[in-house]
Amino acid sequence: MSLYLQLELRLLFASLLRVAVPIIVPLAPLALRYAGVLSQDLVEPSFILLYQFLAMAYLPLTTGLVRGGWRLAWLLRPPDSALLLTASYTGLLAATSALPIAAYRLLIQLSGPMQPGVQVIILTLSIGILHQSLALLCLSTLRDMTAGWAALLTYQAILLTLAANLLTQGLSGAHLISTPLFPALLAIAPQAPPEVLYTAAALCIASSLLFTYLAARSIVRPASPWG
Amino acid sequence: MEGLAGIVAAEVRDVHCSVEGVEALRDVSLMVFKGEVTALLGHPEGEVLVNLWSGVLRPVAGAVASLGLDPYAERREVAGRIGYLPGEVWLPPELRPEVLAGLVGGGHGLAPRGAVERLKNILRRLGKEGVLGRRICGLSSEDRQALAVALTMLHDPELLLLSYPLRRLGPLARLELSSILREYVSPGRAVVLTVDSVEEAGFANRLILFREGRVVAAGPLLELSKTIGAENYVVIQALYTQRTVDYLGKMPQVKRFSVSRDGSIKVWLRDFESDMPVVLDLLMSLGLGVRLIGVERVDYHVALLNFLRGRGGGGR
Repeated sequence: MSLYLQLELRLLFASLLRVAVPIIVPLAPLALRYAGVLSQDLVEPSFILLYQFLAMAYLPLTTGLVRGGWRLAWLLRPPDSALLLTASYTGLLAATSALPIAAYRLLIQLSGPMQPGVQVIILTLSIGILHQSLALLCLSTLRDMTAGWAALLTYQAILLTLAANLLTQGLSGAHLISTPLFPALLAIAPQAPPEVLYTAAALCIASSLLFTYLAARSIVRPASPWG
Repeated sequence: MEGLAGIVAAEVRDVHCSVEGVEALRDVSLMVFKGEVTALLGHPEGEVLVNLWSGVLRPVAGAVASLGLDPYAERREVAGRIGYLPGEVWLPPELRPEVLAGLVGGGHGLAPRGAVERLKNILRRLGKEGVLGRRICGLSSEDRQALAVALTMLHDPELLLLSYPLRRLGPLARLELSSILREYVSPGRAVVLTVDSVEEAGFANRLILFREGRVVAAGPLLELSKTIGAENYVVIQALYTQRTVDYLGKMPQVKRFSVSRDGSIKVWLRDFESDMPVVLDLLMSLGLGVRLIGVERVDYHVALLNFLRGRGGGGR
């Protein structure tokens, strides 16, 4: 196993809160549904929105790549190759993205009221990976981490506004135009054709691989010793 | 150059390097030898060189070699043979030093137990065995720095490249680390470190001074002290100052001299140890009423400042 994957796993499990928060928080809509506060049709979109938010704004913070950057990697051992790092981090992102979905589906199976299609699950998972990889890239390569946060939070603000609009007004042309940049809109949109969802998931995975590669490359080839 | 291959640990030839639009190195050529501790004084030149030799950076022009390899292109081959300490180290606060040592040692092919044992030995030498068993978040910045330096040495690298390893260390830990690094190079390994002052480089075999991207002086500290003017001089007083000055001007042992307002004369000698008795004997035998006031030394800071001012060019 790659040294960096071992380190990331150690970091992830060094504090149980890190694993627990992204699993438990997205379950809140289900709890609200059982409490009668949230209507049935808003549970799934709320889960997806919470899930993608944590994927972008919480999980990357737990990684050594973002926290220690290239300096940590080079102190431990100069990295072998960007491709090996990409493979390691993609595996890590997939695992951390799958855990909340698995917990959510398990609870749904137990309660049994909703049975979403497999294509929505795959798209949601791919969005989790995509948003994590985008955050890794922004936070590790932009000169100032504040700039990275500004970009990510702006993205979230626009996405949440569009999502709120979509849930109240229904799917419109403006939403469809935005989906290449905000694929989470597709996951929460009602009655999207399965082939569109599969295509979107494939594009998300491809983009994730590219973003993760670029983030890994910034470790292997840091732009500046002061950056 | 081939004949030197066995003793050269790292070298740069005609290197130009820019970082963030700043020309950090201009046409720099130098070598670092095995069996030596080499200190680099100059910011950012020292850190940029350490980053070039470790393969973090690539020069705009010129050749870089670490242990005979191109560290940027052949990073994989170089990785196991160098130990690299970046500036501004961050260590995972949740982990314990032993866990980190196990990971790092594993990355270099060491058994976890062996790596931990080696870490213990280095930390013990630094007087920092107290950090073991504690989480990194509970350590002082000095302890973290000591741990980071110890991690770079775990796999016994042939070339240690350290950016400001003495920063954040207390006086005792500094002395211990200096002595560890001196001992480290003895079996033919090399240490390169960046320092903040001439005094910090006191234990190094060689000091290289930079100014505006160029090497302005290099050599053993004793030799360099003479170059920058941080050397001993004799202060004398004479009954016949003018005649004494005339004689001093004719003596081959005298490098330079100056007359103070109070009439005392400061005399710098070519080889202080051997020339001082000769010159004093001669002056006293001439009946000039020469009296030795004392031996003084130009402070390193003052000498370095004067030297660098003298070498100053245009801004970058």
